Amino acid sequence: MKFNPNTGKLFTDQGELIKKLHCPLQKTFDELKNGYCNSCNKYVIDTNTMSDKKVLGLLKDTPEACIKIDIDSIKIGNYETY
Amino acid sequence: MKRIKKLLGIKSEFEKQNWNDLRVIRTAWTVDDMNEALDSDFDLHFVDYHQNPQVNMKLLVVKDKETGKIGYHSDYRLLMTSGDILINTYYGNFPLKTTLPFAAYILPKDIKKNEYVVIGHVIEDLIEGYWNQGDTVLLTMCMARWTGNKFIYDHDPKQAKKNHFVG
Repeated sequence: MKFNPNTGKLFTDQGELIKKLHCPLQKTFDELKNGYCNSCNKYVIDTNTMSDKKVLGLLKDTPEACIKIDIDSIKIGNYETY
Repeated sequence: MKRIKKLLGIKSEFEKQNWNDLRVIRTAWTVDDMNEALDSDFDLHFVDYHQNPQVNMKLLVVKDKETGKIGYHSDYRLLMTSGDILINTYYGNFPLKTTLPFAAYILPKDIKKNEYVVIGHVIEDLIEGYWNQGDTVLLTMCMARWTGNKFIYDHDPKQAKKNHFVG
């Protein structure tokens, strides 16, 4: 996956937009108990071990799902034209 | 301190708010946007815009080893995996939010003093976080409280550290 921290957009390696990540409450994963967000009453899914295809499929089926990405394990860059 | 407050169950003024109940304040970056807002019966709250010298982003300009085409990205690791040739590295604050020294929040006429809102695009260059190649990440959206003459943001620069994103 590729991620643009300036826009919050997450892409597959092929450049397909997966999701624009945005937590209005600025939650961090460390604050969540076992990945559960009490504010939104749902689990935040850790995508660290998931394939691009699986993440894409997950978010197509459940667009409102919240996910967590580790910037150490994905490509970071300004992937969009300014 | 924030962590201790959390452990004690003490919520900040912003944590007590429900995101879905708040109005979203949009930002006018151009004079045209500002005039359109005024024509639509909104008020404007002008905010100075200065580039924050602490903002540090890097841009790696590369040449594709096969096609010879120029591209750019910000991740050193891509150099190792792609075999692209690094032409130059630039550091700075980009893309610029505006070329003007000001922007304006578009205020509804009935905004109340001490009303909590969501700022859609923060004007100032406030640093939200860092990642391990040294780049800074800017705060874009946050909750805020309108005091009557300015917004107090839900932003603590001391908390501006993380290596993951949730959303």
